[in-house]
Amino acid sequence: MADHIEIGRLLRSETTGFVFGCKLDQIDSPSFGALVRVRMDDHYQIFGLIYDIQVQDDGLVRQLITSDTLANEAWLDTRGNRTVPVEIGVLALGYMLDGQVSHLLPPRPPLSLDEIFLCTPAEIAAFTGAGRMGYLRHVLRDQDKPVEELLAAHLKQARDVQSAAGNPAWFEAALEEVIALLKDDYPTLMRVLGAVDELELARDRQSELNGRLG
Amino acid sequence: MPVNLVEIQKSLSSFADQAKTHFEQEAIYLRELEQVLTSYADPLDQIRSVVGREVDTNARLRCAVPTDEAINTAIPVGQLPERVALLAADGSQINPSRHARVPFCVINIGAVEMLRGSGQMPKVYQESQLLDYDRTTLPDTGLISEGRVALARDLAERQKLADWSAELPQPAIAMIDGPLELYRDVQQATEFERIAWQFQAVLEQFRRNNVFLLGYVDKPGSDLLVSLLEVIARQDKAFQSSFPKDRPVRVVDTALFKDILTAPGDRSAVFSVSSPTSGKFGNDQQVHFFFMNVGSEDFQHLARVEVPAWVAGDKANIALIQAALWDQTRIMGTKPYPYLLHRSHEVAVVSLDEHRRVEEMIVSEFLRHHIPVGSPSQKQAVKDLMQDGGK
Amino acid sequence: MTDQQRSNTPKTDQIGIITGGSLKNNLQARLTVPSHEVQEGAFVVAGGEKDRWLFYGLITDLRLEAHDPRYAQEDLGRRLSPRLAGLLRAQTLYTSAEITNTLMMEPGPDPLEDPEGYETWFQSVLTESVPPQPAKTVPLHHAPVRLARAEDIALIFGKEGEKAFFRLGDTLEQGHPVCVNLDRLVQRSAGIFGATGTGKSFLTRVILAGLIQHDKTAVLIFDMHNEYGPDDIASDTGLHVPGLKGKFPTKVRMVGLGRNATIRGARPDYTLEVAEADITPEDVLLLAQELNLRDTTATTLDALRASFHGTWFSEFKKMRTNAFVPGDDGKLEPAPDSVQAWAESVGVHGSAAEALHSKLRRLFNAPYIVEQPAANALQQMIDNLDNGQHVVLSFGDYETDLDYLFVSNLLTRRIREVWEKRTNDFRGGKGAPEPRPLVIAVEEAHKLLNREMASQTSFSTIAREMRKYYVTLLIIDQRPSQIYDEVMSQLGTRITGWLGDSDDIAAVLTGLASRDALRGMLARLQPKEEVLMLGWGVPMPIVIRSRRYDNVFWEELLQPKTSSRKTNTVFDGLDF
Repeated sequence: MADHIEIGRLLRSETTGFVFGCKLDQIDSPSFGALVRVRMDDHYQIFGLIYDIQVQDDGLVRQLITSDTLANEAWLDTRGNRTVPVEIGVLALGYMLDGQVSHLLPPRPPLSLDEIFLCTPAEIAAFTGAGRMGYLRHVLRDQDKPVEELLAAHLKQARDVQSAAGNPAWFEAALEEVIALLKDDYPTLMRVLGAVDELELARDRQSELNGRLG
Repeated sequence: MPVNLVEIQKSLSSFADQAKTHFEQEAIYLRELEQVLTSYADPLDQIRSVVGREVDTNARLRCAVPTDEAINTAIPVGQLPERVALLAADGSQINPSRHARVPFCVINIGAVEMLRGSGQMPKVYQESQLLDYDRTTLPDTGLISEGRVALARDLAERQKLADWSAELPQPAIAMIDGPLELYRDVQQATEFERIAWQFQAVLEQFRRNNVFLLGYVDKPGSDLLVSLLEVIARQDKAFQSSFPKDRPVRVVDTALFKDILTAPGDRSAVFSVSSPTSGKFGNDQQVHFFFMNVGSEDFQHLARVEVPAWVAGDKANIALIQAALWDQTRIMGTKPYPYLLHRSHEVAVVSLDEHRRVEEMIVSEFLRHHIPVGSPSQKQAVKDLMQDGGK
Repeated sequence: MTDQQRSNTPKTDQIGIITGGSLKNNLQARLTVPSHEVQEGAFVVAGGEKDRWLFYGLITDLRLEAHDPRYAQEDLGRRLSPRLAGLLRAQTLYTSAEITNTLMMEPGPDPLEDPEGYETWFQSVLTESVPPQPAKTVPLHHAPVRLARAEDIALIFGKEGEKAFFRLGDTLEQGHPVCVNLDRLVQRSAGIFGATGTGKSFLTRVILAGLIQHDKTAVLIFDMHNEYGPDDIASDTGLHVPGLKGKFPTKVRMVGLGRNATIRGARPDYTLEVAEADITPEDVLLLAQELNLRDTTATTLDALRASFHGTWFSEFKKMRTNAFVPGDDGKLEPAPDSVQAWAESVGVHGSAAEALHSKLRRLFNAPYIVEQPAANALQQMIDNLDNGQHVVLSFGDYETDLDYLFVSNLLTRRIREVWEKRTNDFRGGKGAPEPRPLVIAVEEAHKLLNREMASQTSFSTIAREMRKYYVTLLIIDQRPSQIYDEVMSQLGTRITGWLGDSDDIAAVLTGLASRDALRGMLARLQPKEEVLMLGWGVPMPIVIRSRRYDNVFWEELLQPKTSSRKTNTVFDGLDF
């Protein structure tokens, strides 16, 4: 069912995040900055943000790149059949317990082989629209991650969803929260806003293009 | 220190001297063989009658027999047809161990199918079988021997290859790694006979389905052609003196083909094999073989390819196989080995982790049924410790 | 708007939150509105409705601040899109305001939830049974700060139309009416200051009109330039400016100086002449500067008084100067009716006496000084003031400082003597009626109240006495720095327009706690419009846009019931 796109299963986890694996041919679904969820049971789901996608190599992949003419079928085989490890890192943002969204870290992390799903627009709207966007602090915490790109990617996804859900003011509120969280860190904040500005510019260019087309 | 390096050091000089002598003798012997080969490349009927005569006097003779191509022929690789179906299978096993907590044996068969030219994603087959407890634990010998497990695995591998290739679109090639014939554990003669008949049925299955079965021997150490040349030389006065009954040194066939299969893709003539068992499965299934240079201009690499007689009977089939293997080995770039064989091995192989997991599954099932579970032997426990500590 | 709608609409007048401060210094607030929405001098309230106290004060400084200086230094508009730059500025750049912590008061009942309770409480505040008190503590951190609403202003400064509250102007930002308690205003002397052209005399007219209309106090105006009584033409706009006489024809008596006085071509109600017998040596000494009197003058005057008592002025006037007659020895001697002769007879220096006589010639020649006035105009003035009337003494053509100083001082002295006697009679248990409070308005006050003269004039006495004898001053001046500090410090209420001179600014703020903060405010007042009200007579300093002295003013003053500005409830003007 298109509403519930499974994108992989959990490899390992800790309180602040988890890593799941997926097959190479599933890799079209998860994208950097996408909101995902792990359904633990009927009452409890964990939400997170994809911050890293790693396609690992192995001996055969390394060998195949030496081929002058890589057969199309071998390429498909590697993508579709082989267990070339694709590891996707997820930052834990919060959870939903009995329908109540919390932006605190989940009380316990997901377990091995738990299924990971892409969040539907309704789930994104519910999670990002709850409370006062406290989950953004989890994104900003780890400066080792590409925070600005991650935020920009997430804000784009959430902005589109919230706008479609009739809540265009969400984006501005989120930016205000980001600024509030980062204003003590001038260099990071300016980098984040620079990345967000790319979104704005892209949208402006898109609407300009749409206008010209018609 | 586990090895006394000082003592080894003392012997090194003599060891190298011996090797040098050996290589020199080998080179001399090879030159002699090459002279025989040059003299007897063409008269195929004469050669076959010499071999026939030799078989009469030496029932245990094992040598190559030319078919209808000159012995020193090199045939270049042709064009691969637009479509060809390929299936490769491999097997692996978990051998039972008396050091483990429970006796068990798993045979794992993997296969990968590629419809070359279709642009479709290859299909992966996989089957795992937990050997029956009764077959694993035997009244006389205790645990089933590794040889018997290997035999069972080889048969299963060929059986599955036959099953899974049955529906392949034509032309179709099925391949395994290694010689076509089953490994024979001399201690299990009765068992081997039973399995050999099963194997014959499998061979028939390939033929029925018109699937060209082949065994790919990557680094052949065989000396079937050398043996043939020795038989010929011994009956020719011009060469007799150089070929005593007991050969001075062993030379392998690939040494002879080195200067014949010079162009990448070349194959040798197709040979049949004269051996005590070669007639066992009937003439149609008799093993034929040829050598092939799967290397590049810079790097020659020879492989031996085994096919049943019914496949070898049509040179078009051989040409198809030659082209298909050439294509498969090209996929692997600098390490020319058929891609599908590597992939089937990848699918079939049982990792240590999987081994442990299967053992845990069996142990917990035993515990659930209150079946006594042993502890690993002290030897295994210590090994495990060292492995864990070495991580 | 229904009450339901009102209660659902949040009040949006918050401008910031308290972030710091101390009792000794001012409070600091972080503004939550753009800096341009708030101005220096704005009257603000700190504290929430549920807090224990509400604090009242003025914004005295606005500072541009940044969460990190880099946000201020980076040109965000060039680096980010307008929306992002706007959001970033909103959180990292802000304005902080310095607020005086002047008064505090317990919040009353909520006017929306309990209108009756609020009205009762409000009245008790107006009657000062629950007065605002000087701030003795500070608001909580993050207490909301808002611009004062009409109700706040009314609580602190009183409500127009109630009791003695008279609207003097409006707050700068929102135009809420600001009143002064006229009864309180006249309890101590008051001053109206401002550089030339800042609308001092219009403001004075407004206050005088208020006092006359309030009718609790008699007003005597020394109208040096004939601008308060008669109608006038404004010097700057050329517009007609109504005089007090025209608006209060029966209540205001116009008195001209000199027998034939006309004021702007019109005859006064009556004229005033000064009897020579009324002039004292002190009256002359007061003119020392004007007449360039020498140090010896006091000795000479003392001798004159000793010789002639009450008639010293006319006797001296009659003496001849440089009059000599041959003596017994044939030498020329001073004539017996000469100054010299008198001087020799009493042992004062002849030439000094001669010089004094010469310098007093301007007085001797003043037409309004007569030996025997035709009528007792002084008594008539006193009667008028007793009868609930008000007197404007116009100086007519006698516009010199000499005339003004001499006459105003002399009259004031005489009137004060009368009021002092009446007060003593009233307090002495002789059944005498309580004297009617009197306010004497004097212009160019620094000429009467400067350091040299302050001890000699009746004005300084009045200023110092406060209301002991029911007489106070309303002094109008452009150079407050020239007025003796002690007098300045006694002024109960000071209302000042723009002042350019720093000495003048300092003088106006003498004796006030928050003068440092007020100094800047005073220097930046908008000339002609804004005035700063401060001192004992107002609960706290405040900058207001002063009421315009125009037809609307008169309409509102004389017909309050039909006035558009008349308010019926304390809620009017609130921004609900």
